[in-house]
Amino acid sequence: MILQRTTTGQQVYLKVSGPIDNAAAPEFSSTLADLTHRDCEVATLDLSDVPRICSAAIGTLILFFRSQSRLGRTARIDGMHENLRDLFRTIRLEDILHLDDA
Amino acid sequence: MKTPASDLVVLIDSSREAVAALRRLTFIPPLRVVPWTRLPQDEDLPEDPLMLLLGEIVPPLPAKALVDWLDRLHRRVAPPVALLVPRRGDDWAPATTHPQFCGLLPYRPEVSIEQMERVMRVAREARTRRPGWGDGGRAWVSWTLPVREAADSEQIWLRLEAALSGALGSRTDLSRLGMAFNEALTNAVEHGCLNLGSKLKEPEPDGLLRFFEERERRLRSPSHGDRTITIRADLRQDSLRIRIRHDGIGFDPSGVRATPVTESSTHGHGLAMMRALVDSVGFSHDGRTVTLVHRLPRLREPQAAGRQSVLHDDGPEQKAA
Repeated sequence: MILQRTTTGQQVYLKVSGPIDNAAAPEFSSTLADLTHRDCEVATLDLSDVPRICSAAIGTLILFFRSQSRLGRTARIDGMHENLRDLFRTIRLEDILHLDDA
Repeated sequence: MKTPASDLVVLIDSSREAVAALRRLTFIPPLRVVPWTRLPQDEDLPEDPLMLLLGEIVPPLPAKALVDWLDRLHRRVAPPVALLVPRRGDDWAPATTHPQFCGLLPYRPEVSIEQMERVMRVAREARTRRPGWGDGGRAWVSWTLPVREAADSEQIWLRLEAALSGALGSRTDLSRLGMAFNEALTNAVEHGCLNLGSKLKEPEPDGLLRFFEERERRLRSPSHGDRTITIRADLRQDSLRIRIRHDGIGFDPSGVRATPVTESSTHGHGLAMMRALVDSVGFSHDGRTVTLVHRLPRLREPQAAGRQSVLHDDGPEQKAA
């Protein structure tokens, strides 16, 4: 997994490339936790190059979106791999992550 | 600490002397030795032996017949073969360069445990290096890995995917199966072998990171890290069945319910994911075995008349709720 973070003021764009497997989940989790601790008003995640994801990473995503919402901030997903889109639709993660426009 | 499963060795020898010599070896757990007095064919073999030990049989096996037999085993991806020595004549020499060959084991007057362990080690390495497909409508890959190696589920999936793609070609997208496999293997590692409960992931937000730290610590510990996981893939005409079995802590599958994904649930989604990604998920052996079934498009021409696929039955499975 490769993480590329671009920060513009209080907006962060995080592109994730490669599978988010169990080995990569800790780094993914700590990165999103770091965004939560910083003054990140808008966090955008690009998952278009993530062909596989593990359940731990899904839990991290849910936690991140919830944290951002409670802090009055925004989290969104801009770009999703077809594999993930199918999975998220099946397990009804679309509504939680607001994937209408991803 | 739960003891690992014992190794099974098939000894092909006409005398009782060789059997007695092997059974005098002290392995923990004890080595299981199954004696045969003739050359077994792949479909005759019990369970999944680590290796075949070929002693002396009556009548003696000419060199060509020995090599032909090794060729058949190799095509069927049967266990590797070691030869007991000394042997009558020198007809066996060509076998030592065959890819199915895994070593010589001196045994008169006794079998040295060090030499036996060496040959067994070579047999294990040969098996992990060469996943492949069998014949007769039944094709399989079977690996037994230490949990420390199995913990890298993505790498294990890539190896398995490479083996599967070779048999399936490019007609089948295995991405969904890959995610389900990773979940199932991770569960076997974390909950089965390492005895990590999901409750360790609480409270948030630092619980998940603490869980990962504890995971790494247990992987390094002898009490957990020495456990093993067996992965087996069976290919049928219309489906692919992957079984993951561990020798750690089991559980009651009847009490398992897939956790719905909600905004308040940040863990426990593995089973829901697996069910969403494959056609069926089943548990057996007190929860120590999970079986994923993935339907495939028709792959092969019908088998010859009278030939049927053999289902490998490990006992009744319980469907995950």
